[in-house]
Amino acid sequence: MKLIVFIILIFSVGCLKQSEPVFSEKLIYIYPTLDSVYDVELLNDTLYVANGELGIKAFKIKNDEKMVLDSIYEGRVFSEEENIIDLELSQVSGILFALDKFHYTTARYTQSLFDDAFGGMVIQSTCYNYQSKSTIFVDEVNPQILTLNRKIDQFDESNRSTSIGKTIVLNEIYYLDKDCSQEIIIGLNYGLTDLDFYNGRLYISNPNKDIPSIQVYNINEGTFSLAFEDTLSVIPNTISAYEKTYVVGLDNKAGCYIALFDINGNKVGKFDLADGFTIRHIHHSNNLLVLSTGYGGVLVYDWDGESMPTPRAMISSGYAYSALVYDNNKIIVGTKNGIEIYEI
Amino acid sequence: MFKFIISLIFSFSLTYSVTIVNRFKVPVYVSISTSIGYDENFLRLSPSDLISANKFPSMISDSKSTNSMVNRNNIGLEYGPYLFKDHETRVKLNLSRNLYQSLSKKSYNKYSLSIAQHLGPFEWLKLSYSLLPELYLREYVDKDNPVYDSSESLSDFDSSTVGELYTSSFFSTEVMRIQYSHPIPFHKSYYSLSYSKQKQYYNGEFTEFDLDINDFKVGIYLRHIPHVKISANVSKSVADNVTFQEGSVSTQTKDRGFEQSRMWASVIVDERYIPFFDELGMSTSFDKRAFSSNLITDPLHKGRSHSDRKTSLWVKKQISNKLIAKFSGSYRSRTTTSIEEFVEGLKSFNKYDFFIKFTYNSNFNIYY
Repeated sequence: MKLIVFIILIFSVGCLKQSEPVFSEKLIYIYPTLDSVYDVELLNDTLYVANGELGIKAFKIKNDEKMVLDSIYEGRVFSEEENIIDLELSQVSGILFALDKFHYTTARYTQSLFDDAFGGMVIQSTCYNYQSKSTIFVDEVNPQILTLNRKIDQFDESNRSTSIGKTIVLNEIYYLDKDCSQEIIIGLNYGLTDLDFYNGRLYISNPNKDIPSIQVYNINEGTFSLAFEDTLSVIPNTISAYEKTYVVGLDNKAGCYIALFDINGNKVGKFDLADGFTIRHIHHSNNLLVLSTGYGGVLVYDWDGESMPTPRAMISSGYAYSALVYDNNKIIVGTKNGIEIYEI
Repeated sequence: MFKFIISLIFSFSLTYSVTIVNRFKVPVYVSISTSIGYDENFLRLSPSDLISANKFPSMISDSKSTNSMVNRNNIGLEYGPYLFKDHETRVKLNLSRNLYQSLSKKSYNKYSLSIAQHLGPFEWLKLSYSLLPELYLREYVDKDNPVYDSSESLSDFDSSTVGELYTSSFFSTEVMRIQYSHPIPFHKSYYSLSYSKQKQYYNGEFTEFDLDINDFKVGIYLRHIPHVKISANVSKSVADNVTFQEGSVSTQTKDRGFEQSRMWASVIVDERYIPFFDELGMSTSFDKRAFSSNLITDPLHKGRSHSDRKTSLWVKKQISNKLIAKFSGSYRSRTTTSIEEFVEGLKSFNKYDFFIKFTYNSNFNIYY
């Protein structure tokens, strides 16, 4: 018996002690999700999230002693088989555009997510089968959006192209134009990756079938005309335009570059940034430029919108699809495994 | 506890005629060994990590290379006080020092102590303890310190900047084992049962990976075939992530617990079957580890499993009465499967090593 006690004593006592944990508390919040968070949009203190096959989620951001996301909506936007990968928010009308990976764009008043009495139909467009990106064209009570519509010829699958369609959302019935949007530019590259409309100009990434490039279109009396084409050596993944510049996120770990305009809108120079990273999403606000780089996490630069950006913080997040700035020093990141919030 | 041991020894000593003092006056056997060898992938880097490490040495702590010459030195002392009539008692102490030429940080010490008590023919009870105070793994990003605030001198981020987020990862490990062996109806053959408890604790930046591991093992040792030794064991381990959900964000979002099954076998033949050498041996092992995490925030462990295979081959030559030379080589391959492709690329690796080892055996007898 004594021998047994002796043996038990030996096994219950060890020399090794655990170390004191070391942490900086810069990762301030995690909200796990079953599908990826592909895109995030912010309207005041409400965060909207494109959550793939789970539809969309909306959160009220509570930022008292400790920052938390208070879920106020989660569910489908329109159908049971949707896969929401991109959101656009019309600030004036309060309409949320949700883009499905393989099907349609849907539009919903944000208020209808939280208020069943708000009512209103939500009708999807049936024009094209692939509308993965869009940009707000006119942000009014009846907003207009431009959407890239990828098309495959039903008789010849090799005949593929992308067009840019314009849709006016009629306020009374809450739907995207059901009978096909008006095509404003046709015959573009099927591998077109992104578009952005800013200050009367439309910026399109990878529209040329023959060479990676950026095309910039001017609008004149409703007609889009090519202003110039900026050719590249690497396929651009995403583009974001600002007052005096546009920022292009490149594929294949080629980083991004910022093109500068002169007073007449001509390209006069460029900066190269973030070499070694593949850029998936670009965001600029609060004088911060935020680049989401997939496995590379998130890169944050101080940027006034026209000078050379200066590095501010590198965030080792989960696989980062998109990110935005909240409250000047917090970065909300949409990742493969949910939402992560960091303080910089 | 000390009183208990003394009283136990004293009570047995009354039974026999040899005095207590004389029972402890026995020789101490010494075994000193040194080996030198080459480890082709001493940080166990995956193929994709090997490419990154060559490009960004900061992820392997500026190691000169991903391979290394290795020097292992060991001193073992064995002491067998005569405590019980017709029953041997063996106390063994081992101290070892392993040095890596490419990265001094990887060098480590290991200490072990065992007490084995003979109970009957091929029947032993053995208690052992080993401590490895600090073993360097490699550089990892500490997820509790995930933000690198850029310094003013930095002109831009590039893929090497991620080195600023890396922190050295070390762990200490302690193993306590109890083993019982008993003969089986084959000449000189026996089986063994053992249970061990292992603590595997990391440095402060990585405490979210701290483990307590319980291991159960059954082994069989066949010695009835002349000139051939066959050994095999199977074991089952259950690892509990003791810091899981303990407070920090990383402990909330990761669970490193796992279950592991292991099979090991070896065959050794003596000089009758091989020319020149005195012993030829081969061993092989197969480990299957399944991580238990089902957290959606834990892509590193959720749905992940390892298959780990290792094969070793060696020959021994008695150079003189006291000096033995051993040449050995091994190949290890770990394949990771995961629902996340990046985890498979991160945790799979292959490596080989070979060593030459010289062991000098002697004894000193200070009593007579």
